[in-house]
Amino acid sequence: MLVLTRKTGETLMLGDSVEVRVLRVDGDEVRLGIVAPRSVSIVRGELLADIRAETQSAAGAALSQLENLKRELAGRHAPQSQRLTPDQQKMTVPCG
Amino acid sequence: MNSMMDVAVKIPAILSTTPDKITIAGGLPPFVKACRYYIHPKHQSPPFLRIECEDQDLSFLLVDPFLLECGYKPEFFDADFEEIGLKSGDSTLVLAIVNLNRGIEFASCNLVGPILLNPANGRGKQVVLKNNTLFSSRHPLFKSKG
Repeated sequence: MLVLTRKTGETLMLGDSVEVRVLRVDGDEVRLGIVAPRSVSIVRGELLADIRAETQSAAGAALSQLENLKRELAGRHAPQSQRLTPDQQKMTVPCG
Repeated sequence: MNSMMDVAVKIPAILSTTPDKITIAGGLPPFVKACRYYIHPKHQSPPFLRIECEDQDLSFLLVDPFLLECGYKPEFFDADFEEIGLKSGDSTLVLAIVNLNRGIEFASCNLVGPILLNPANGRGKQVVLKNNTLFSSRHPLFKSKG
């Protein structure tokens, strides 16, 4: 890992097109400004870890669970069905 | 979608527009080596469908997130469109992974990290939304019964 010390207002360039600027340091929080082309995705590392953990947890869905979900949906959907066409009733999931 | 590329999202995603076989080049992390998935026609039960990996014992339930009553408006990075061969003017499919691991009462889907699919070539990618602060990785599928 490359480790650098920067002061407030100073920048780092990642390649030719990505600039990271230290905007503010406040205790254990650092505010960063990033200038990058639209094509570059910028995502918090913790979010990737969260998505990964969620995928791991979701793996191994049995075929029978598809039917269970369908049944659960049908059971919960009844009160709202009047304003939907029959086709929409099948297709719309009420959610929290 | 707030993006330079003008890619239309097909609604509803499921039904006839879903390819039978999809290839997710980077896999679904942490399952990075499981790249080829199969959707058996009998494994579709709108708005849900099930995908099975062709190379190992691995399967997922997916839901069409646009059929959730919560106004899903994802924004994507252009790099993600490009990676699966989508160009301006193309259509894409978006599917969210369902998690039943906490029991069916607490069934959730991952709206922040959906699977983006190119229906024309069957290529897909699990992406992170550009507007990722607006959505949850554990979005409840059902309202609690109270």
